[in-house]
Amino acid sequence: MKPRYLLSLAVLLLTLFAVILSIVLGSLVQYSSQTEFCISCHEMRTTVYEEYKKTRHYQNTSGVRAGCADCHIPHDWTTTLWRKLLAVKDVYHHLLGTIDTEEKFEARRKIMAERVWENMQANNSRECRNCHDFSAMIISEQRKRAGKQHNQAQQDGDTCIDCHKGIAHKAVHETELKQEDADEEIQLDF
Amino acid sequence: MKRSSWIFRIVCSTLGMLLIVALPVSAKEIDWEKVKAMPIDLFYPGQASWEWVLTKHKGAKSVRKGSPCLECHEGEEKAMGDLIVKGGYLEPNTIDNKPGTVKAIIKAVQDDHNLYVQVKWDALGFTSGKKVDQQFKAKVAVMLSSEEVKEVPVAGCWGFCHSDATGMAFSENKTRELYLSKSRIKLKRSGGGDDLISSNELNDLLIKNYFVEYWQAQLAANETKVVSGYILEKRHAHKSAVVDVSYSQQTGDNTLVFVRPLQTSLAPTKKLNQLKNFYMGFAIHDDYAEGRFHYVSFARRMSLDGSTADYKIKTID
Repeated sequence: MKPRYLLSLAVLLLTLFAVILSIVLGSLVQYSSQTEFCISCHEMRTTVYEEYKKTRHYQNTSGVRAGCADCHIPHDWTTTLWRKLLAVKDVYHHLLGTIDTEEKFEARRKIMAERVWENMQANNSRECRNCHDFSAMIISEQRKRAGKQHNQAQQDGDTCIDCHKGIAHKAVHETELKQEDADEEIQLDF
Repeated sequence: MKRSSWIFRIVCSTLGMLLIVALPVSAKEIDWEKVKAMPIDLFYPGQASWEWVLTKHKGAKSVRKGSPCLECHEGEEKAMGDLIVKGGYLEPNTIDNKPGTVKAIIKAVQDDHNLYVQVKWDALGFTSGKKVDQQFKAKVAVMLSSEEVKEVPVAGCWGFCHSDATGMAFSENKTRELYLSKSRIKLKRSGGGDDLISSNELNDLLIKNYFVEYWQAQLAANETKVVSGYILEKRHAHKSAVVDVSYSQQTGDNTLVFVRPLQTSLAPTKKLNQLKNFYMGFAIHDDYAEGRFHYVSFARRMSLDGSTADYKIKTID
């Protein structure tokens, strides 16, 4: 076969391969982003999924449901791929049984939650803002407390996760005064 | 002027002052039906303290900027009380079936001499079977404060209820009463402890009106008592109550009327005859309860001169 035709065949095969790879990769990404995939691991199904089902992100008056991926997987392609790569460690720990009992899960719950919060704080609650955005809020129609807090948050440059920890899963963030904080001095302006 | 004339003036003035203090203030006949009502919800606060409100409370930033509780929480008292009383991070020691809120109605009027405050509340009909207060089945406290105590317009009674008070998260089983923060050298998340400022500095605060006046009606089966005092570095009782009180009960309804002279020689007290507005908070202990196991309202701004307030106190003849 003449080199010219070989080159064309190579390009064609490569293109075909790339298309098939894209389709396969895309399908895998989509499949592994579904809630059903996440809860196929019992560690998720029996713990955080059950908690999430009792919240407004699962069921609410508007019928809009946020699945696992909506909050935990970025929406842009490159960051999604990176997140999927990092998720290999989830598979590793699943095989290792790191959190495969209730006791083990609870022992590590706070650490896992803190990791997610740190991530969200670092990216300005990117996944929250896919659906919720200050510019899209009619603050005057919110409940008094919500409206005031949202106005304050915008003024202070706060991000969603600063206040909304525990909104979809068991709240493990510290809300009470702890012994280790006891000696911290409080300064007041008034 | 002759010396005898001076002596006569001094004697008359002294007798007059004694009469003001000694004579009971008469319970005037007031048509309370015609007085505007202010419904309030008192709720169970658990171990929520001034320090918690300023730090771990989600609205801590707003509080530190001087926003009053009602700005966010108006209408949420029942939900908050019901949540706290069930137990959790603000209540480690639950009382089975204890209700989370008490509804009350406040009415107030004034005349040339007195301020009259009516507190009417629903009987809860709850009994835990325990008599922590051996003597009084119920107590109703009223907190009265002026602008000088900056904590009160913001957080009402939480302004002087601290993490290290009796039964609170950092009490370490000590008995420590209500106090205002400035009476302490410093305030930590665990409270102000017992490191008081000097007595001269405390006196200075009193002179500057930095204290909270309180009244408390104490209801036993067959008697009603009343005490009053002030809170600064602790709770002090007046030698005799600055208010008079009457109590009546009808089915499901308890009614107290406090009568407070606008001018009194008892000290330290708030000079109501000089104030245009002030703040009031209410607390109810039921079921022979004691200490923090009570229901508390958010503070309300009251005006005597018709200025902007949660409640404008009308003048009657």
